[in-house]
This record gives sequence, C-alpha cells and structure tokens, in this order.
Amino acid sequence: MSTKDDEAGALARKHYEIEPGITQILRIRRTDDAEADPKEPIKLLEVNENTVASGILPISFAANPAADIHFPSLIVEITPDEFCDIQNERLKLPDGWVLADEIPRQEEACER
Amino acid sequence: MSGLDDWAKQYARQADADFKSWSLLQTDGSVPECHKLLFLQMACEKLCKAHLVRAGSSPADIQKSHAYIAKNLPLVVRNEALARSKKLKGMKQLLKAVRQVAQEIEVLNPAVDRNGQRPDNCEYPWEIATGDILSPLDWTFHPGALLLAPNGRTILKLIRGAIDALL
Repeated sequence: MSTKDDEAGALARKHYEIEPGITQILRIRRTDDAEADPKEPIKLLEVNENTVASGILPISFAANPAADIHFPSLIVEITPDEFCDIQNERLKLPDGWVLADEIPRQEEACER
Repeated sequence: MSGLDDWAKQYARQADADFKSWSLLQTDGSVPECHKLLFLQMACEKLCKAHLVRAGSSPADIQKSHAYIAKNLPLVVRNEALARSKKLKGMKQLLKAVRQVAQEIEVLNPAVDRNGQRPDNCEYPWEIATGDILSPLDWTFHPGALLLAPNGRTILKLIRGAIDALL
C-alpha cells in the first residue's frame, strides 16, 4: 500500500491534470502528531482560478480502497486572491493547521 | 459514528430523497421544469453540505446559506469521477462542464441571485428591466439544457454515485 505522502502526491497530480484552473496545490498538515494517524485525512489546499471565493471551506471525502484511495482526503479550494490573503494572514486556516510543502505540477511530466 | 458523520449521513439521506423525487418527475410531462429542477437543486445542495459538515463545518452555519453548490459540487463530482475511473482522458471537459452546471444549479435557488444579476429561479416570480413580471413556470432554465449536453448524463450519474457513496 502506498504511503499517505505518496497518495497525496498522486491525488494532487491527478487534480492538476484534469483541472486546468489549478495553479498550485499545497499540503496542509496538523501541528500536532495526528498526521501519522491513517484516519487523519490527506489535506490539500488547491488554488484554482475557476473557483468562487468563499473563504476556507474544507470538504471531506472518504477513503475508497476499492478505487486505490486508502486515506480519507480533505480539499480546501481557494481563489488566487484568497491564497494571497492566506499568505498575508488576512485569511486564516483552522487552528492546528499549517501550510506545508507545495506539490509541484512538474512531477506530472516527470512520471510520464 | 461521530456526530459530524451522523449529520453527513442525514444530509445524504435527504439528498437521496430529493434526487429520487427529481428522477421520478422526469417522466411526468405535466410537471413544470422549474419544479423538477427544484429537487435537483436541493439534492445537490444537500450533497455538498453532507461533505462540508463531515469536514467540520457547523451544521447550523451551513443551513444559513444556499450558496454551496457552485464551489463544492465540482469537487464532489471530481472525487466521484476519480474513484470510478483511472482514465483521466475526457475528465478535463467533464469538469469544465460541471463548473458551468454547478453555477447554474446554484442560482435556481431564489436566495442566490448574484447581486441581482440572476433573478431567475425555480420558486418565485421576478421583475425584469421592462417592468414585466416573469414566472419560473414560463422560463427556460440553463441547467435543463446543460444536462442534456454530452457530459450532462455523466454528471448526473456521478451526482447519483456521490450520494450513494455517503449512504
């Protein structure tokens, strides 16, 4: 079975590939030790030019082992302007969440 | 089952009932399009709210607005599409269509009018610039046409599948 990090990368790359409006995808991680728990969802912040602004509104999806999705996931989709607001701390993530590594689009090309 | 999962499940049950009602009405030519689409709008809204509440949104907060479809339905449909198929070919067009359809479904609710730009809705009459009053009964709704487009049926199947996945 793939690790949570592997699966987060794979999920992000699929999203890049099928959503032309996505400009960046970043992992969100918990500040406590919960990330090691397999029940703790993969959390992706997706910056999408084609979405509507509505602040931080996480949406959750269950794991689906039959479809090779072994971890639950949680997506926060924001506009590029909202991403600027997060960077300038005008818009805050929920307590205990921090922005972590960016998953680059280029990896998609490397795997081909 | 946690409290949030209970909320999500009950939202999903309502979405299921709304979707089934929409589906049943499809074959009845005597039912106006606006009434049929009302059930589709409600199904989509509750499906989105089920996913939001499971992610931690307060059930009380999300009941205050109907504007959750345009943003969240594309994510729900995308997740369902990826769960069903490893083939990504064609999904770009599908998701483009979903974003269009989701925006149109959201404005079916009279509470969502895009700052007065989209007064058309499934429930109440509205006034246009000429002073005429229009009724939903006489209006041609965009989602009706969009859902008949090639990706429309797929979108409906994925919405149905996403509801099923929560039950």
